[in-house]
Amino acid sequence: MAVSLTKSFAGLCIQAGNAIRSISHTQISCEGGILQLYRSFSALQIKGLENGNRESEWLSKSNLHTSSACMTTPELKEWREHRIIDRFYRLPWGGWIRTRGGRRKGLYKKVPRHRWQLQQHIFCNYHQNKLLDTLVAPKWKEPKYFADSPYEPYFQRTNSYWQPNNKKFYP
Amino acid sequence: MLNGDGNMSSKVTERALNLIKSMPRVALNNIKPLPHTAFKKKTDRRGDRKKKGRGDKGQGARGTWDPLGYEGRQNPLIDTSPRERYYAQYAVRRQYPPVSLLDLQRLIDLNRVNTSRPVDITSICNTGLFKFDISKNHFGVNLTDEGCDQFAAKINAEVQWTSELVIAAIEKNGGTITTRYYDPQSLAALYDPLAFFKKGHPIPKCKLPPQDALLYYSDPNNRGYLADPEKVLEAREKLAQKYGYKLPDLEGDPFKEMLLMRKDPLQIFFGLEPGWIVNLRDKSVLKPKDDDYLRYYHSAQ
Repeated sequence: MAVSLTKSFAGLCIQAGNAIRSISHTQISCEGGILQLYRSFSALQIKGLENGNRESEWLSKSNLHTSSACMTTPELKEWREHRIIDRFYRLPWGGWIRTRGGRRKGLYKKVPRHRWQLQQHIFCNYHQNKLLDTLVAPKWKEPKYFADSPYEPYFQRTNSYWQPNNKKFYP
Repeated sequence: MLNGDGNMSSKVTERALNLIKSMPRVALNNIKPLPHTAFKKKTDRRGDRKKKGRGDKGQGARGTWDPLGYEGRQNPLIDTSPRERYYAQYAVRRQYPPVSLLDLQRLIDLNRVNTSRPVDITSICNTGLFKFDISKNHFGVNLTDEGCDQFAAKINAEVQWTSELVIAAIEKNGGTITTRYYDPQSLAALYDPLAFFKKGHPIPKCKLPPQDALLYYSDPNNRGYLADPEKVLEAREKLAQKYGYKLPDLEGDPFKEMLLMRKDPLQIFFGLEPGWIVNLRDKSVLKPKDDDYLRYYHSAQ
């Protein structure tokens, strides 16, 4: 039993260095390599083996077998959906715009009106806006102030109660 | 004895009073609720239940939801919409956060900006109402035309980006405006001069604008700082004709000297040359005189 456990732990050590560090109360340095981690784990196990019940307790309490949604990769890079930044544009008030599919395909068999329609950039709907906001890093949600942006007329909403156009003028 | 006692008690009361005076006052920031009020009876026992409020069976109970963006075997929107490089060269593109003429008028009315001196990026930053960040590629201020009809101040403005209407609004009131490029290193000093002088570094020389911005900053219609001053005067008159206002006479103006104050293309602070070091502790300015040093700080390359 113990041998098989140590084997499985050694296998886990290679993949989940971060998880192991969080379990042990003392900081285990990763510089020593897998061997050191393995030793520290075998020491932990010996402690657990002293009482038969405590082993199962420790296993039930550990967070080795759980996974949580993280904002960052193991290398502490922010998740980012590159496909979204390549295809969509976020306006400062939270709306997203996109292009239409099939705008370059089979144009010879489309009527001029349809061809013109396909060239338009259109707004995403409410649910798509929410979805796209969750899939990009917070950096992309900040307003961007590029000079002479062609989308500048759409930066402000009109006739919207929630995004009033004129600022309140306090003294 | 009585007198002695009386003295003693008065001393004690004095000390007590002094102690109370020195103690912090009861205020909103240091009062807490009483301990018995902090205790809250546990009423929500959802966590103890069998199914943890996640319903019976299915994706919700098992936590096996579809990945975000998945549309049930249909090609998702992220894949079907074609590629359009909205954020092309994002890391290189310059950004100019806007400050409207209305904002500027308000700063002037509230004496947050001194109009007897030229108004540049530092005087806007010193109000503490606008934030710029060189790490976000903020290359200075974009003066926008909101409130151009209400604007009624005679100023010498130096901004990084403007429109034609803003130039007309400022020149109509007898003021002057220039568009000026600063490189990020100079901007870091201009955004927070105090923090920069505390470092004890020499004042940097301003670099020339990059190739794609050179045309803008040498155009007299944009009042670029690299444009020919005579052509700028011509452009002023042309703009006055276009918008139909009478250009106030600069020659007879009592503030002519202030209105025509300009920085050298290499200079970033008024009255301070590149290469000088400001010593805030001794309140002095160190002016190095080494030839090589001067040659470096007084040449554009």
